[in-house]
Amino acid sequence: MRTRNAATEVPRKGTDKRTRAKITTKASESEAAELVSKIQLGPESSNPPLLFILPEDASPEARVISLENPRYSTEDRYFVCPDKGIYEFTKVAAPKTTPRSWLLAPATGDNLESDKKTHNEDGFVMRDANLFISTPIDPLFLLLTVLNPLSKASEASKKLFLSGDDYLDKLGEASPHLSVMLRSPVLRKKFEDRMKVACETVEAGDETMYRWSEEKLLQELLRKAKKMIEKGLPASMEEKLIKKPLEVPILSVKREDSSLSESAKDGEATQADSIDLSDTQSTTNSAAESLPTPFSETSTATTSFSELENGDMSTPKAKTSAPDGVTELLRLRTAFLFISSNYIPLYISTPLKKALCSPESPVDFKPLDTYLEHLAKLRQDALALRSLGDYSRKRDIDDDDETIEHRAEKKRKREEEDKRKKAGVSVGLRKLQKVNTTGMKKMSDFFKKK
Amino acid sequence: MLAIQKSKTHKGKCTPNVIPCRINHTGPVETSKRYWDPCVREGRTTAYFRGRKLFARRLKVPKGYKGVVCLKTERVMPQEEGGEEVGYGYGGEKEVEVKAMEEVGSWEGMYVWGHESVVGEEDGFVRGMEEWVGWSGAIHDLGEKEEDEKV
Repeated sequence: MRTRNAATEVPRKGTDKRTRAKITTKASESEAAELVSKIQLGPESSNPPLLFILPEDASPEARVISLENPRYSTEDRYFVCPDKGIYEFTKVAAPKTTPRSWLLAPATGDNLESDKKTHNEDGFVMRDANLFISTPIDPLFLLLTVLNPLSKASEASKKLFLSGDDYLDKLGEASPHLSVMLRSPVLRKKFEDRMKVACETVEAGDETMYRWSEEKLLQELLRKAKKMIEKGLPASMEEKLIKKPLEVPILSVKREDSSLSESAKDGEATQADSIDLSDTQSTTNSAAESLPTPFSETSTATTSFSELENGDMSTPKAKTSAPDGVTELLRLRTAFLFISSNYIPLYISTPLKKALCSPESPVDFKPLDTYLEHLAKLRQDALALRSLGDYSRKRDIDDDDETIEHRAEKKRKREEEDKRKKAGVSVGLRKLQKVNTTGMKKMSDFFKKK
Repeated sequence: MLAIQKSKTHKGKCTPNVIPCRINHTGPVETSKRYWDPCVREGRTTAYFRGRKLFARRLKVPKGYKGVVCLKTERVMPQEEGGEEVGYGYGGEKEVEVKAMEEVGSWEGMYVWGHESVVGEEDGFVRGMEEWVGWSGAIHDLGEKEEDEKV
């Protein structure tokens, strides 16, 4: 209530002043101007503040640097702390469709009721509500491009063992900002430690040499993926990418129960066929035809649906939940794909995905693939059957291909005729044909004998 | 390259609010209690903005992090002396210009407001602050703990 008044109050006062200004003169006008200026906004700020979430207790040597994003090859900002490691920024912003803005209000503390005094304080308004959250990033992802460079020319050198410093130098060449930061021995150590998980190592004197190894990287990524599952996929991801794809299509939800007993009886006859789903399409159709007539057409359609479900339940043992391990496999694969599509250059992630599908893959995704295939087929069949069901409701069942063809032929002919007729008539005449002539005298009336 | 420094005109703590409407202005405003006065009513954080009732969801800065408000500046930081002496053999390397980014405020919690409703889990800010921070920790887990366990 209070704020609404505030919004309307100011112009009202303004008009008051103006009416009075007619009587008195300049003095009150300036007063009004003063009042207006009080509520006027300052100029737009060209350099608005940014909101960050940064790691606590970062070293004063910490810097925000630009670095090539390992996946998208764009220059992105990273927060590097010589002690704590490297952080990536994630921008949180409302989608354009939902208007959101920042209002930075003075801190009220946890107790909102504290002081009720009316006092003006500094606040800040920002049109775009962006928040930058920094979270640690594994240096491994930043190292990938140096450990396994893309260029063809380096094909030979790819197989060579190189020292950690060599790799870090290369990384520094690509990004001068990072090379400055890499002067910190702690950070250097952090980067070098991560090389081990994607490389074969050889001890040469007191130095460790590294060589790119795809298998090791794959192992490491799978370890990460498992860790991600342990933590639990975010709810939104679980819903969209795990539950949805594993859903078994439900054909008739409401009538399922009522017609189940019916179909159980009828189902016995066709059960042998209905297990094989490709056959059910034809068999259920014929079953619907041969059913005794007490059912209306729609109810026969639903019984044939639930019949299919019956067959369904007998093939895999569960209807709503996938077989053991399949969900877990899908989670693992989702997590893996999430990493590879966000942090790994395309030219490295493609062979990795291939390796994961190959028979030598450390994790066997076969049960998942077969189950997904099976679901896809179910879905396809359900769709086909549904359209068939609608179709049979609309027209007679004996409506076979021949009659459809015949009908199409007829329609085509009619259209052609119409076209020909229209072509012979001028535009003006055609318009006149549409005129409502009821209540008008016929032309011949005028020529009758009186 | 940017270095984050505490500004001399650091304004202390503030409370960021995500308002469920677009304010077509970027700049300082006076936030008098008259126009913006969030308070707890019937157990819910409530505020009225231009006559509309808003409910808030409070988001805390995750543990181990801090919320800051920064301002980019064109001020170039003085280069550290003796950077080359560390001895990694970077003799002829160019120094990178470091600009200062001033921390002008800090915050511990923020409010996400919704029109007569409390925003749900699906809101970007809620997910960013609560979901992403924890989960990204798993993605970028270095596996150090496991190694320790093995030993």
